[in-house]
Order: sequence, then structure tokens, then C-alpha cells
Amino acid sequence: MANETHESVIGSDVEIIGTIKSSGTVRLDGKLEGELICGGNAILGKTAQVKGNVTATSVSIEGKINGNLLAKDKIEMKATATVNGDIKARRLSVEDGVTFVGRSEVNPNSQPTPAPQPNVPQR
Amino acid sequence: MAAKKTKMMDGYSVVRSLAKAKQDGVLPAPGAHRHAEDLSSHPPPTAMPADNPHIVKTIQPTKRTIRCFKCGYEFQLSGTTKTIYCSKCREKIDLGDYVVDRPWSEEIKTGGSVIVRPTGRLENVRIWAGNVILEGEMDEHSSIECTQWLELGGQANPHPRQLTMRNLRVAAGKEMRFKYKLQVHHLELLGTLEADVEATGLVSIREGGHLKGTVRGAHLQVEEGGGLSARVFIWPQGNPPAEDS
Repeated sequence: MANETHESVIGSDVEIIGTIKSSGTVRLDGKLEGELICGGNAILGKTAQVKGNVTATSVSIEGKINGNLLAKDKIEMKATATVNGDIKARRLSVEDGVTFVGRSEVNPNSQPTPAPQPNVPQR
Repeated sequence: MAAKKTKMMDGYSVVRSLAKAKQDGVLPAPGAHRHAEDLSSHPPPTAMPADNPHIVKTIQPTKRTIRCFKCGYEFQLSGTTKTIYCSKCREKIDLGDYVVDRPWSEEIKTGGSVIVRPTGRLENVRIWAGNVILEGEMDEHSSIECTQWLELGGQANPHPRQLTMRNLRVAAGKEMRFKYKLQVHHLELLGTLEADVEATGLVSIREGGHLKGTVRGAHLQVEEGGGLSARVFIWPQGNPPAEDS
């Protein structure tokens, strides 16, 4: 039970203004105006719209984001993704069809980026 | 009566003879030699879907684009041939493939491929070709013009101004730096490229490839294991937005 991973899902009909912090995985299909900080993975679905920075171990994007992306491990941009902002990760995967305007710092041969430390209160 | 007999039978006579033989019962009716069960084992033609191609697999010969060196007209050619004439200006175009594995100073003008091996060296020569793989060296007085793909690899370290290409591929392990704006259609990176890239086609960074500098275009593809340290303007809908100062 201790190793069980939790996924928090924010539906497409949800709008959040503020910061989301989680130690696990977050799947976002709704709108977010603010930061998303995950200790696990951040999955931005096709209907997701984010205005703010996203920090996670790995980020998968199918929706739109206006903000910077920082991933400890990997950033994955699907064909429907729109990213306006800078990205930084150790690994990157981009499908043909993405819209991406920003700076990219992805070097698979470099030392790993320090892990994001979300300040999540213990349950 | 014997003189009236025809020695040569024309087509009409053959048809008439066959019709008469059939009428007289000399010839069996079509399909009479088959048993009924043999015929029933074959599905009627209507059982096949309307769009069913009777030839299941067809293989089209690969086509390659040839560009006339004289008038610039592009046309497609399938199959193999040594030479061809431009369908617009009738210029003769050599389509042979060449391998340069020693010092070379003779002009090559071909619609085919030229491979410059690591042991090859271009000396004061101009190469016109469809595709070029450059692994050897070239001096500062040489130049390469490709109508299709240019692949840079090995020890090749040409000055960017010596190269004209439509598509560029940087081979694995190769590091290349372009000081000037690099305008290409497709760009494929298996090695490292530092440049200000403007691509009208697909920029593809394969595993082990790395792009540094600026990339501006409509299509970007990065395989896992590829690196991208650049300012990126990828805008599939049209022209990328103006660069922020």
C-alpha cells in the first residue's frame, strides 16, 4: 500500500484559479490559471488549458499551455499540443503537428535536473 | 470445285466455321466437360465486393525526382536508366551514381548520387547531383549542389557557403556548425547541428541527434533521446509569429 500511486483527475468542466500541488500524478482536462506542481507525472489532456508554469517529474501534453514547463525526466508533446513557453527537461519527445514557441533546454546527455520539491503537507 | 476451296482462312471464315461446328454438334457446349459440382465450387462474380481489386497486391516502381541542371524543371522518373533528356529543354541529364574514394578534381554533373568516401577528397571541383553523401574532405575551392538530400558525416567539415541543398541530413556522431541562416526543406539530425534553421518541411531530431541555435518552421519531430537546446518557433498553421526581441 505504501508504494501505491494516486492519480488526481481534474475534469474538463472544472476551472481552477490558483496553485495545484501534488506528490502524485495529476491528470488535468479542465482549465487552470496558476501553477501545477507535481511530484509525479502531469498529464494535460486534449481539453486542458493552462496559464501558468508546470513542474513535474514528467509532463505529457495534448492540450494548450501558456507557461514554462520544467520536468525532472521527460516532456512529451503530442500532436495536438500547443505550448507557448520555455521547456526544460532531460528527455523530450515531440510529435509532428505541435505548436511550440519558446526556448528549449533538453540535453539527454546532461546531468539530471534537480527534482522539483513540492511542498505538500503530509496526510 | 477443288479450286474454289480456300487455302488461307480469314478471321470471318474461322468464326463462321466455329458457329457451324457448334450448330452441327461437333463442338461441345462451353462448360459441358465440367461436372456440375465443379462449377458450384466457384462463387459467382457477384459474391465479390464491388471494390475488390482482382489483383490483390500491386507494386509501383519507386519514383525519384529529377531536376534539370539547365532549366530547373523538375519531373518524376521511375525505373533505372543511365541518362534521360529533360522533358522541357531537352538537356541530356546523366543519372549515374558515382563513388569518390580518392582525390578528385573532375566535375560531376548527375541526377543520381555521389558518395564521397572518407578516403576521397574533392579538390577544386564542382559537384552537381541529386543526392550527395559527404564523408571525405573538400577543399575551399570545391562546392556541392544537391537537388535532393545532402548527408554530412565522417570527416567532412565544409564551409556552409560551399553547400547548396534542398534537404540536409547530419549523420550520427557528426558535429556541424552553420554560422549563417540555414534554409532547407527537410532537416534530419542524427548528429549535432548548431545553426539558425529555417525549414519549410519537417525538422526531425532522431535519437542521438541534437539541435542548438534557433529553429523556425512548421513541423518538428523529436524522437526520445534527441536533444533540443534552441529557441523554437514551430507554427503548423502558417508563418511563425515574429520573434520577440
